[in-house]
Amino acid sequence: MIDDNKLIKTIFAEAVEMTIRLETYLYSSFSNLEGRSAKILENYYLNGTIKVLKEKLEKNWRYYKIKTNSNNSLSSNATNRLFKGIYNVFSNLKWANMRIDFLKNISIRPEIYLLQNDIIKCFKGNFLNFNISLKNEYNYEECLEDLNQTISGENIENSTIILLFIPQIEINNPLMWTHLAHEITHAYEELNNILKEIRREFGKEIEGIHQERLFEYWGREILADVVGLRLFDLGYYISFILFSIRAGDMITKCENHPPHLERIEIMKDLLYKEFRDIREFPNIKNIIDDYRDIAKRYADLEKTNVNIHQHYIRNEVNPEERRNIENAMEKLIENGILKKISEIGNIKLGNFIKCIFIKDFNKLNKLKTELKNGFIISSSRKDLNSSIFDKIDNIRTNQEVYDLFNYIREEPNSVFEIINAGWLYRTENHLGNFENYFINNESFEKGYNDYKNHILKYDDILLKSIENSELHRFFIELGDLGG
Amino acid sequence: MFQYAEMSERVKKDLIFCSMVDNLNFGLEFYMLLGTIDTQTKKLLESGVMLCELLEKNPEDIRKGRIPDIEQLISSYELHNTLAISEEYFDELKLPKDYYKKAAEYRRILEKIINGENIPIKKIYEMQKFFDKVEKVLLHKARDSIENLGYYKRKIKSQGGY
Repeated sequence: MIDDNKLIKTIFAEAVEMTIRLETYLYSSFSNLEGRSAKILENYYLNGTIKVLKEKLEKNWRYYKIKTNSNNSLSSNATNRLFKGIYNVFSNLKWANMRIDFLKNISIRPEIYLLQNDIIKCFKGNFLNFNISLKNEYNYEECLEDLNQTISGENIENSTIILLFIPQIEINNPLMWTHLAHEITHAYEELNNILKEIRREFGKEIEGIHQERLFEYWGREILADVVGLRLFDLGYYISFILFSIRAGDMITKCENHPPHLERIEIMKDLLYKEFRDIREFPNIKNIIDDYRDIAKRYADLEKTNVNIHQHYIRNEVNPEERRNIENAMEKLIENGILKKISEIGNIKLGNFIKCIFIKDFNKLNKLKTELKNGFIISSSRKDLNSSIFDKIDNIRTNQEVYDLFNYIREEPNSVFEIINAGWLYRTENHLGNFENYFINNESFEKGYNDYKNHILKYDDILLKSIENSELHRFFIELGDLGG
Repeated sequence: MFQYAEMSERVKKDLIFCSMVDNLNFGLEFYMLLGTIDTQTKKLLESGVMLCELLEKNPEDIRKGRIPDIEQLISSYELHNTLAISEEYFDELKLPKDYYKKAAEYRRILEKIINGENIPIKKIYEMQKFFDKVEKVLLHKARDSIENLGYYKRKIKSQGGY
């Protein structure tokens, strides 16, 4: 079990980070606007919304400091109070994000397109055209097909463009871009009917129209999670847990989405299955276990403190059908259908995607250390061992010199490795940094500003790493780097 | 479009109610922890007084339009409505049926605290228990309104935008 102090620090840090990102986005948006209306908007958002959010955070921070002043533990009452306080901040953040939907004057970073291309390269076969836009959520939408057909009056092949949406506030945060893999998979899955193939394996295990429909909707989500894990493994897992915390809903069963906690358990099992040698890397094992425990404890607190829905079904559904849908939801979970989809899906997906789980934990740990020291992690060099020094001493020909270059050549890291290392650094150092900036600081405002600088600095390092690694690959392809 | 604006207003109101009860509960906690009233605690408790003022209106008077201040009538109506859409919540949460009378009593106590009068700890615990239950409903309602608005936005967009 995770201790409550750690949980509260984790979710508080998340709320602070979201506020920082919202503030940064608003600043950059308004700096592009001109005229009187820009001033009014700026005043409304920055002096209104952000100020209110910071006041709410400060109230929680002050309470936390008083409560943990004498010892480092939190009573159950204090945990509940802080949980409700931070949950309230998340609600306000969610609403603030919805209201900035019209602010789209910020251009999409090229690094997002680089990542999107790297994800698409992992899928086999023909694919659709993609574009990226800003919205208050991760989502995707098919567009242009209808428009093209309306204009031309005929069926045009490959006219569909998939529009991927990324939340405005995550525009500079590559760590959360892992969700793009999830959304791209939805589009790919529809095109290739992977789920239909998986459905055959279940035979009569799925009964009735409601279970069939849920299998389709929920199965789609599980498959997209499996692809997210295969591409970003640890990174996708943690980002999904933090995303669920922000969404403030771990346990509700919706028609379109299975409960987040169930998905987290399934992902954890899959990671354990794939990472067979994980016990040799206790730091990674601890992260997987700790974050699952954080999600579980969050769900407990949600049940205690918020009158959360067990099921969320559209209002227009009549009571009898509602009961049937609820029963189908329970059956799918009870019978372990979702876990089975993830296991079968993981095998079947081998025919469709090329990428499978990063398993080089030594390299991952090394990149994390470099990141911690503030280095750009766009490329890695093989470790030099003593035999290379022997070779240097015995070089006789030009060819031998070039052969030696192979040992000391820098290889660009994949975007997946960079993001994974970013997550590993963040999870291992996050709470430590958070302590330094907030708990050991006497002023909330100073802690907030220092933490903001820290977060933005690491965004820059990761973005620069992604950009450099792509340039590196480009030059290797040109043959200018001896590749 | 009209429905969208209405739903949007609903979210705003729910978040305001939520903030009021959050402030009140934090205010009571700070009062207990510090044993005195500082500027921040005073501000938080004043927000609680405003919540009680809305909550203490008799739902029967609201229905019959007997409250002279129209703004307070509307806000009180909305707050009662938010809480009472869920009569089952009240059974489950065991809030007293005459909760509006309790709210009036607690408003008076809050005013005494703000004015520096001493209040027995037992009474504060009783208030915390009451407002914790109110908060449980309001926190959920605010989130629910946001989800509904998001769902509505997606729905109307898929029908050709708004």
